[in-house]
Amino acid sequence: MNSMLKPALIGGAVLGVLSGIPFVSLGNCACCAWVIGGGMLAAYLFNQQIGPQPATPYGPAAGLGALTGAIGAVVAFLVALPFNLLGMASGMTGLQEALRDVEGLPPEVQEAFANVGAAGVGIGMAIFGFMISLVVYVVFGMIGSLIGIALFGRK
Amino acid sequence: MTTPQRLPHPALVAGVSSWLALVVLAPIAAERGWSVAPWVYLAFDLVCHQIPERSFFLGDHQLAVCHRCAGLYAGGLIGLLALPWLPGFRRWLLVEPRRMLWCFLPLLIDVALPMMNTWWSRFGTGVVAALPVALLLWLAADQILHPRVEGEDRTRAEGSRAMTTRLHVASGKGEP
Repeated sequence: MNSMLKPALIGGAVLGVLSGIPFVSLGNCACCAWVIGGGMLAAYLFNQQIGPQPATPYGPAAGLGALTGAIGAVVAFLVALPFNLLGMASGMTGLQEALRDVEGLPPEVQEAFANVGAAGVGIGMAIFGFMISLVVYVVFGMIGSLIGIALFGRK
Repeated sequence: MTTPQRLPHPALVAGVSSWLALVVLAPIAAERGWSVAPWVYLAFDLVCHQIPERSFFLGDHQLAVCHRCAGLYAGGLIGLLALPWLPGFRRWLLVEPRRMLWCFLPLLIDVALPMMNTWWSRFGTGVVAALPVALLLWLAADQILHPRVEGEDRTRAEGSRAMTTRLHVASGKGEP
């Protein structure tokens, strides 16, 4: 566990910062690139730390990736927080506009979503976003770490 | 070389299937006016651009992710279901895991040619790229759920070494 903490913190910090800054975070639209990259970075550092192994440690790497993703989700939330607070209203509008672009979404669904925004539950949205990103980052962090350990693993 | 000792755990297959099912659920939910639809689209917005021109449609509604992401998720499930029956491909990948880069290469080329790719190239290269990832997930789950296999091997090897030492000592040859 101790050998995982440092790589997970570094990988999580890198993926969190990149995923939290507006516009830069768009990199995640390409197959969650920052999250996968953060997981790979953590796996690389972990591999440097543990040295050659008789068998590639895929199991520990999955745990490492999950930890990296969880740390990254928290860091991304904290980094994005000031931007979200500054642009909460415009963010909601942007979100609603984005949902309007989803072709074929029924008007009643769009209306329901607009009402959610109008009710001023920005904090609820932020918490929902955090919960979703936590799950997504853990899953993709794990995948990134597994790819990383496969590519950088030494025997 | 590490090889999975058992078939992919049902929980792993169920997890990947559920992830893919959510992608398909979004347009069905939107079609029926379920309030969960925007939340599903919003959740997948974190990982995909969701450009309508680059997404499959189910009826009048697009899936929650683009062609490429749909291919990646479908490839993950196909990999988990097919790889147990493809030992040759599995061995080829596991002997030198960097070979998985060959599976990523078509996707990278497809990404680099946005004006030339088509829906089937985006989906197809996604499927191919996800196959080795499915194998890695399978291996990880196998190591996590059945850690005793390696431990037992080690214990058996240590036991065998100890027995050899005892035999050497007993025969007056000293430690080997």
